[in-house]
Order: sequence, then structure tokens, then C-alpha cells
Amino acid sequence: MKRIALLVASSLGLVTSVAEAQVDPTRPKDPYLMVEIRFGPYRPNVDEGPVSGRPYDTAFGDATRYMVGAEVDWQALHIKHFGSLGVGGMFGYTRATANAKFADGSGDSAEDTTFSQWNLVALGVLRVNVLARETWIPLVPYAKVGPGVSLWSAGNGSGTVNVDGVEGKGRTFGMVYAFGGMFLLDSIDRQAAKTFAAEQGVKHTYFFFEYMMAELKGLGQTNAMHVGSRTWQLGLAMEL
Amino acid sequence: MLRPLLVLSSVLAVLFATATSFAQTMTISNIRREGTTRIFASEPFDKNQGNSGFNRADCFDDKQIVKFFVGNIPADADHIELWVRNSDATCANTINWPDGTDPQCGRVKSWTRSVANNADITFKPIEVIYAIRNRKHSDQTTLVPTEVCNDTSGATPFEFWFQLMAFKGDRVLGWTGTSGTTGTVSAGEVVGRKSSYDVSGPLPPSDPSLGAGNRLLVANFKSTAGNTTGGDLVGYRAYCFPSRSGKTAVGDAGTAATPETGTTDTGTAVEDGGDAGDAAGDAAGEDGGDADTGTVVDTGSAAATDAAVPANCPANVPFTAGEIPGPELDEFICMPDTNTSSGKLTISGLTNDITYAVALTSSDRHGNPGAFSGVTCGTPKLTNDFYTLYRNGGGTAGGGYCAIGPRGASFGLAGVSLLLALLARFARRHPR
Repeated sequence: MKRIALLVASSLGLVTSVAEAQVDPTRPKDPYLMVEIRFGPYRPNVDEGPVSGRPYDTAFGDATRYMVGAEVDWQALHIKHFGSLGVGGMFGYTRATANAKFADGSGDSAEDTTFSQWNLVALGVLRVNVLARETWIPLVPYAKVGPGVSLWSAGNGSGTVNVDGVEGKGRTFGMVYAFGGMFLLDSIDRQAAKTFAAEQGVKHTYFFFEYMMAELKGLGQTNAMHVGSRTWQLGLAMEL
Repeated sequence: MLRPLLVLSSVLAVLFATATSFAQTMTISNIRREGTTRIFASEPFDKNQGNSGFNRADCFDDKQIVKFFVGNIPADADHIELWVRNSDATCANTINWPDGTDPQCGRVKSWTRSVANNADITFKPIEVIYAIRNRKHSDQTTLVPTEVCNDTSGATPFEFWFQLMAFKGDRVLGWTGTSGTTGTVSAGEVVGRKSSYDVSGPLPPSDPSLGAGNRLLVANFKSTAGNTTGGDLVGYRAYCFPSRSGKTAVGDAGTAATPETGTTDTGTAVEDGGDAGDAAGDAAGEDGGDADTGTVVDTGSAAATDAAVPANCPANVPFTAGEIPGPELDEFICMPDTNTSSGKLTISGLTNDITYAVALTSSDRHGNPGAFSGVTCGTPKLTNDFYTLYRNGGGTAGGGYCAIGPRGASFGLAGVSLLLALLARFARRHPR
């Protein structure tokens, strides 16, 4: 665990060090913020954790639930003819609801059972924008990595569940990895993009598709509820 | 020489007229209710207050009085009268009297000058409601609550004006302008005040059905159209039998009731019950309010629309569809007025494996419950929610967001903190 922490710290330290060396006050300012809104299916891997009986499946079935979220990245370092390195924060929210089942097996009750998650992730982000900037290919591949925490809570018809004095709320730590591609929407209508940039300060707009591996299995914890998921997300991003 | 005298006399005339006017300006002040358990027992006239006006429970409440202080009754008046009117018409005009050609007014009560001047005067809500509903004099008849106060029409609040008028014999000494609002009165003998009454709760919700859960029932219903289009609906209320505290009969002590600490009223009049908050509090045994064991004077002539109780219900259910719940049923309220557009009420705090009969009412801004919906019955049963399944499956996570893990659980927070620290460092060195 310490090694992972040191690795993250070292890589981010490297980012800041390189950034300090590369600053050139005479060149035009690069976009420094990336704001994303995103959504995609999300099914927490509770049943793959240290628990038997597949409680998530039993309670919520296999219907698809979605996570919505947002992300803000600070593109701290721009590397010529390559891309940018930065740090950011992402959050996502999802909630599953179903009718709780009667304990005697007589079917579904009228009582709701719910499971909510807030995923909070600190990310290091590498975006390779050389293609979109210097060629005719309007694509920006990228990768992200960082530690995250999921704050989860389970509810029923009476509010938050309490079983044998234990409240149905908790947190699960883990690492989050993601990679994907961004399509530069400016390439569809460059004039509109210029107007948008001049009037609203939005320098570039992207549509993105991302594969995310939220390994929220309780990093540094024992017997944490596994609430991560391997899933895809898509959304819109604006570079300011 | 003559001109200054004219000016001086004019000034003196104006001053004299003003002084006379001030001396004759009749005033009312310190308006309040007494003998009521409504939440705000003060000013009953401000229609913008949620607790304003007079409701059905006020009408039934024989102990409740409205009181205010009257000052400066004109010296030439021999008595004052409190009137109510339902329009801009003034009650000083005899054509608007009960026996006039366009009856718009009714008298609530009268007092001699010697009794009322610079003193408190009192009257009862039922006197006001009778006078305004019937445009008749309340002090000329015996008021029977079940005849005056019952109304199941679902009518919305009715605004009216009070007029306090000074009389000499049959002659009114002055009257207000047609607006009927407060303020200085030109002739100084009359004071007007606006209020409202509503003795009819909203129409009941329709198509009730019940679902069960762990220690709870979920009541589903449809809002009656009249309640949502221009009505004064504030929410829906649920009554459960047996009560949450185990009462299986009206007045029953119950098996698990939280003792109420208030006084016990053994009078013959029905008290309060008009206010939702109070009613709910009483039902839950929370506020130490009155435990009213008085005579039941409710339900009156309300027509039952569907009195049938389903076969799966417990015996002796005290709820009848179409009838208005009286205060004696407050102990069976299991869900206080709840403003919901979902058509769903979750009634929690029940006991598993006991069959409950549930009836719903709508409530209005004046605190009136409407008539009961049809009765439905259901039995709460143990359920397995997700977290219970998780714990039953051997899962041990939980205990709160801040629960401390057995080892090294703070890694994630440390990572986030580290990132933030690096960001701060970078920002400090490279301001844009």
C-alpha cells in the first residue's frame, strides 16, 4: 500500500516539477481547465466481495442502473507536440431502488429498498492532444488514474437501514483507472467553435467515451463492501 | 382686522374637528384566542397565516373564545354590536340586514357601552360561523354545533368581514368604507376586520389501496380532482386501527401507549382537533396535549359513500367512508398531514403480523380533515432489504461514513489530501 501511495505521490510530484521547468510567460495561454459531465451504466460488484448469497442480485435484480457525474481537471502542464498532464477530481452518483422481498418468501413487498453511492475520485490525467492540435484527426486519447472513495448508504421504507445496531452506511476506498477517447466537436463547425470560444471562453468542446475500472474494493480496508465496477461512460467535455 | 380673525377661526375649527375625531375613534386591540390548543392562539383574522380564521373544530369548540379590547366607544352610543358580512356591502345599511332586501350581514353579539368600553369583549367561533353562513343573528337563536358546523361539501375557505359598530338605539352612529379593512375611520365609530372560515375539509382521496412492508404500510390513492384545482388542500392524513399504540377501541387505554402528560378534559364539548400538528402530536403521545374524552359530536349528516369494510379487516373498525373524523379519533392518526403529489403515504412504526385498517382523509389550510376514504386493510411483515441480505450473507461493512476500519483505512483520504496539497503547491508557484 505504501508503495502505491509513493508511486502516486512521485508521479504527481513529477508533474509539478516538469511544469515548473516548462513555463514560458510569452506564449499564448493554453486551455487549463477541462470540465466534464458524464453518465453511464454502473453496477457495483457487491456480490463479488466478501459476502455470500448474492445480496445485490437478490435485492435489485439485473436491471441496468446509471451513474451520473462530473469531473474538473486542471491541465497543469502542457507538453509541446504531445499533450497535457494534470490533476482533477471526479464525482459520480448512482442509486438502485427495488421493492424489498418478504422474508417468508411470499413475494415483493410495497417497501422500497435502496442503495446509493457517491464516488469521489482524485485523478491524475494524461491527454494526448497532439493529433487534434496538429493533424486532421480530431481525437484526443487519454488516461486517468487516482485514488477514490465511495460513500454508500442503504435504505428501506423507514429510512437508513440499521441491522443489529449497525447503520447501513459506509465508505470503500480503492483505485480508479480509466482510458478513453475524446472527439473534438470543433471540427464539425470551426466557425461556431471560434464564436463559442470568443463569447463564452470555451476553447474546445469534446464528446468522449471512456472505459472505467473503479476498483473500489477496500484499499487498506478489511471486509469492505465492494462497490466498484468496470463500465463505460460517455459525456461532454469543455476546455476552458 | 377682519381677515386675521377669519384665519384664526378657521384654524380653531380645524383643530376642534380633529380633536373631536380623535376622541371618537373606536379602537380594537390585543386580539387573541383563548381556551384553544391551536398552535398559534393569537390573531385569528390574518388570512395570510396558516392558522387563521375559523375551522370546523373551532366551531365545535365550546370552550374557545375570541377576545379583544375595545377602546373609545363614542360617548353618545348606548351599545356596540359585532357584525359579520360576506361582501363589500356595509352592515350599517339596513338593506343588508337579515330582514332587509339584500341580506348580507348577521349579528354575532352585542354589548352595552358600560360593559364594553375600554374592556375586553368575547365571542365564540360558532357565533361567527352561524351569522355568516346564514346571514342571521346568532344571538337570536340556540346554536346547535351539529347543525351549524357540519359540512362535507369540500368547499374552500370563505372570506368575510367583521364590523364593530356603535349604536344609539337602532341608529348606527357611523360605518366604514366599503373596503372593510382596518384603519382610521372617518366618523370614528366603526372598525372593520377581514377573516375567513372553513368548516368543510377537502374531498377524500379515492381508490385507496394498501401495500405492506417491514413494520410499515404503504397507502396508495388518487387525489380527488377538486382538491388540486383551486382547493385549499394542504395534505393527506392516515388513520390506523388498531392505533400504533395498540388501542382497539375509541377511548381504549391501549397496550403500549406512551402516557400522555396533559390534562384530561371530561367536559361535554369537543375540543380542538382542527389543527393538524396538534392532532398528530396527540396521536403520537408527543405533546402532552389534552386527552379529550368528551362526548362525540361529530360526523353529523355526512353521507357515507362506501361504508363497507373489507372482510380481511379487524372487527369494530371505527372509520366509516364518507364520514368526517371527530377529535375522538385523533388517537388513531398514524400519519399526520403530509403534502405529497405521489399518491403514496408510507405509514411506519407499526407492528408486524397485526392487521390494520387504514382510512385516509384530506386536510385543508384551515386544519379541517375531510371525510374518510374507503377503508383498506393490510398486515406489515418482515422483509429483507438489501443491507439486511448483505449482513445475513456475512457482510460486515457499515456503521457510518466515518466508521474507522481495522487497519489503514485512511489511505484514500490520505491520497486525496496529498493531491490537494500538490495542487495547492503548484498553484502558489504558477499563478495564471
